[in-house]
Amino acid sequence: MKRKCMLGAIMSLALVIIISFMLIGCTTATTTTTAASETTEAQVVPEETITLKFLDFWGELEDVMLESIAKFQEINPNIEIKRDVCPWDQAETVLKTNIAGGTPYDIATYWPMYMKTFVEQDAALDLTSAIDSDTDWKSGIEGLIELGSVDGKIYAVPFKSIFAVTYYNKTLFDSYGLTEPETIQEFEEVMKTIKDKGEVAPFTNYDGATCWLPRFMMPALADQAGVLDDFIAGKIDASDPKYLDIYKKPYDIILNWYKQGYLYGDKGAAGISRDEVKVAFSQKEVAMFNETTSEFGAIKESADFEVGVFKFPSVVDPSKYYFFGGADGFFVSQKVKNPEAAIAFLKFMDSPEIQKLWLDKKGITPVNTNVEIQDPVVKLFVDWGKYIKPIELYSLTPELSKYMDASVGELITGAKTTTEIANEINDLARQAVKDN
Amino acid sequence: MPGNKKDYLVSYSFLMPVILMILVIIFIPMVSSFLTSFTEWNGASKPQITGISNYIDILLKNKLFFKSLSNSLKLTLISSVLSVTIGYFLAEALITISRKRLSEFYRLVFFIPAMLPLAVVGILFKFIYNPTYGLLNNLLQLLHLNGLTHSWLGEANLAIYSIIAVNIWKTFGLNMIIFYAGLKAIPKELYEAASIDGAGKLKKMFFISIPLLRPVIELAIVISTILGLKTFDIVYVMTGGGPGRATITVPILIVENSFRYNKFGYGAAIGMVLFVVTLLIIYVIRKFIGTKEKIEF
Amino acid sequence: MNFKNFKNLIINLSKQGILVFVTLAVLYPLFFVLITSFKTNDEFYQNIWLPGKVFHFENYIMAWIKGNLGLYTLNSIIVVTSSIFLITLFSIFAGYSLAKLLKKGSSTITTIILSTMMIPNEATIVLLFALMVRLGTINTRANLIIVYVGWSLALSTYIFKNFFLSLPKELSEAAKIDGCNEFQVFTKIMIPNSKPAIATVIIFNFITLWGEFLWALLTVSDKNIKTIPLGLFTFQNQYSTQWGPLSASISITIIPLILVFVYFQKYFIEGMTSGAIKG
Repeated sequence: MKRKCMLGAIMSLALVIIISFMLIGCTTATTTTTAASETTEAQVVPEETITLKFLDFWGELEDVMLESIAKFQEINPNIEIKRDVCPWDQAETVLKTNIAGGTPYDIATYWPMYMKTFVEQDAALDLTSAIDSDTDWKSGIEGLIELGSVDGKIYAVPFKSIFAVTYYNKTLFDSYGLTEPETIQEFEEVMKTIKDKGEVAPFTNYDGATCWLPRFMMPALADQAGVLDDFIAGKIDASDPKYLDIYKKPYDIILNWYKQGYLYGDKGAAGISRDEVKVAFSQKEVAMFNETTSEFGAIKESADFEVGVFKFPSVVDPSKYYFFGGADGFFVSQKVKNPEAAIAFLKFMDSPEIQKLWLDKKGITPVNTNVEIQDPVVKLFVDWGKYIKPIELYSLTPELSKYMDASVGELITGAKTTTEIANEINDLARQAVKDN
Repeated sequence: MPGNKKDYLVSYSFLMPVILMILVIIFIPMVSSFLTSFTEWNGASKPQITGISNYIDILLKNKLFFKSLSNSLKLTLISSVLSVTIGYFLAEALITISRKRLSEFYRLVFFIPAMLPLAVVGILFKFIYNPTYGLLNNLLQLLHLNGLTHSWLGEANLAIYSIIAVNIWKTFGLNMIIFYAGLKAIPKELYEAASIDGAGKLKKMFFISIPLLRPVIELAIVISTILGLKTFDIVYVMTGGGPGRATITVPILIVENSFRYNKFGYGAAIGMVLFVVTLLIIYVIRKFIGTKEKIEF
Repeated sequence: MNFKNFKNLIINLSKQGILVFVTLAVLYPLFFVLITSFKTNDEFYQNIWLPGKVFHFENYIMAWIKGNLGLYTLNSIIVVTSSIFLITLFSIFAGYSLAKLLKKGSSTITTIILSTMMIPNEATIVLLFALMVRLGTINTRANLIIVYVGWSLALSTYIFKNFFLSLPKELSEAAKIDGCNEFQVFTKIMIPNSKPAIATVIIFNFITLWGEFLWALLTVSDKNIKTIPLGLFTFQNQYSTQWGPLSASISITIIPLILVFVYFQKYFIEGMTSGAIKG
């Protein structure tokens, strides 16, 4: 009786282990089958209905997205776009779970500048030749095309232009006799005036945007030291005192702001959520904050005072700005069965017609420069697009991004000193260079 | 013993569906996860076997792991103890309320937090904790306790406790219901007999309710502990592990490594370490407060 | 005697005071959700704590139509009730077996079953997904139900086991003397007496499964089988949140939970007059 039990137990354990092994091997197995079918299907039955699985995390833009898809399918009746939605902060989980499970999405919305993580998995299709061979498409989005490039190849295309700017309470500025600052010194004077009046807090960033401050400042400092390109590639070594300040000075500046009491939330300045910031601004608790260009309409509407916007001040030279970010866009799975169809959809979305549709309906700043614009603010944003540096130290590795996300929080809560943070960034950047 | 074999058959056939389901849905992925933990796997290509190097890295080199583990333990310990205690005393208080409607009303109300979606609870408490327009600070100012106002989620030493408070708020209702059901099942005759013997309320609680409820108390503590160590959502919604890294918990670290850094093998290894830690803690709990197989009446 | 009365009065008052305090601490957030559900976004941003000037019922209409809440509620009810039926059925048998039938190994089996709960979902979800892809169940209701049942059984079994352990032995022994076999003892004596445990299991699983988000998100893309948690994020986006419709959705989705709770409370727990002995 006992022996039988033991035997049974061992047998079932063995079965479990075998099934478990099969799960891990799952992806590799499916990979080969799709690769095989890719060539045959594309050649033999080009006219058959093609289904493209599309993951969209811009839920708030659903109606105009559906309209665009309908228009695309009108022109391409044999291509069906099967759209799934997910919340934006779950996009990475959903995409990667499907990749690991062997059922990747053919097309997905994503941030072109953060494509590295999918390139590492060999999960994104190289779009370089498709774009290079299409001058119409390429010339339209020229300025932002580099956003989606990893190691010189393009893996994602931009669709909506989005970058960070500074919003302020213009009514308040006027009553205090303040003007838009252009340099960090002027910015600090503005903050001091507001602070001294004691009515509202001068400045804030939501928790996820605290890392925007060093990202604004570092490239300027690197450029001043004459090593901008090396800095972006992570190649400067901050153990050389000449370069240490590129990493360290932004944090010194922020720490000083914090100590002067310029930052909203006082001791909790690094723990304010995006929604909280918007409420605080609308309720006149804070005078200035950084947000993306896409939010202009919503911010203006939720405030009962005049809202202004300026370029985040330059840390060295008022004529030079260094913006980061740039766009939301699309990428295509490497395992896609019909790359032509997927690429056709991407190109269609970047066409002036669709870009105009999104601008008119939702005020989305277009990435295609051939779109005519009337709105003065959108015009301003398009003009500011020239300051965007498409490649950024921040997106060198996911580890570095994650560290910089948390760095200002660690600084303000006193967990790390400015030198420690600078060294940590240096180490992560050097590690990334070494791994490549 | 006659009929022994038949007893065995009955008892195992009663167990079978549960064992089968758990085997497929939990055990197989768990074993795969265990196997993955000895590999380097980016979630797409073939895993590379690396032996125990993931574990070595986690236990010896990863500073964040111990920070996250200590946060997870803090969160679990404090929320379990307080949530179970509050739940128990509320159940005791409610069972003595003679007006049925009132008792029903209280039970419903106390259970509401448990019903709210976590994402909602997170957003709600972000507003309550806000340093300037938040309800909590405004209330403190109203009471002239300005010295006590804080940036509840923004201060590194405080943030984890603010989250723990929310966690307790969210879970005490469930414990209350578990205890209430347990107390209801205790025969009234026992209390009556004790009253005749001149026992007071405290005595009744310590000599009747608590001993009889021991399996239920164990249940409540075990549930709170297991769920506590797996806490992900509430922290993710409220601070995302911040400010800086102050409130990172083990499940957050797993997600970060797996989905953000494409280190699925490493994430699985962290999961396994957490599994072992949980197992040890539950073992200790069951050893000290667990019911022996038979209960004397 | 007088002193004792006074003491009782104090205890009673403080008890009432605590109950009222907890009630307020709990009800306020719900009240907040309720008033927000009648506000526009601008009103919300300008004063988050106070009600707006006009009641905007259109938030509810928007939640119902754009958030597809009607269909999703129906789907949630189908998935959650079938899961709970299976969970209760399977685990009550298993719990009984572990508590009363198994002479040896019960403790070990309980530990193994419980231990399967201790691995964080985040570490295994990708592999479970791969398994379900292999089984071909992705994007079906069956997939949701199977996984929900699998996830919930361990704890439910444990709840039943601990409950049956606390039932006095005399109950079953008396029945056995009357000539019942194990199965009859179980169905005729044990199940009717385990109403509080059944209520606990149903309520507990209802709240966890009703709000389950990640698995539903990963495996369900067909609109016709989506569940409520997938509907809630319609109004929450990367750059903005539509507070009115979101709060309206929450208010709507809480109602079924309250009904389930009230019903099972009343029927199962209040229904017991004097506990197990009476049986």
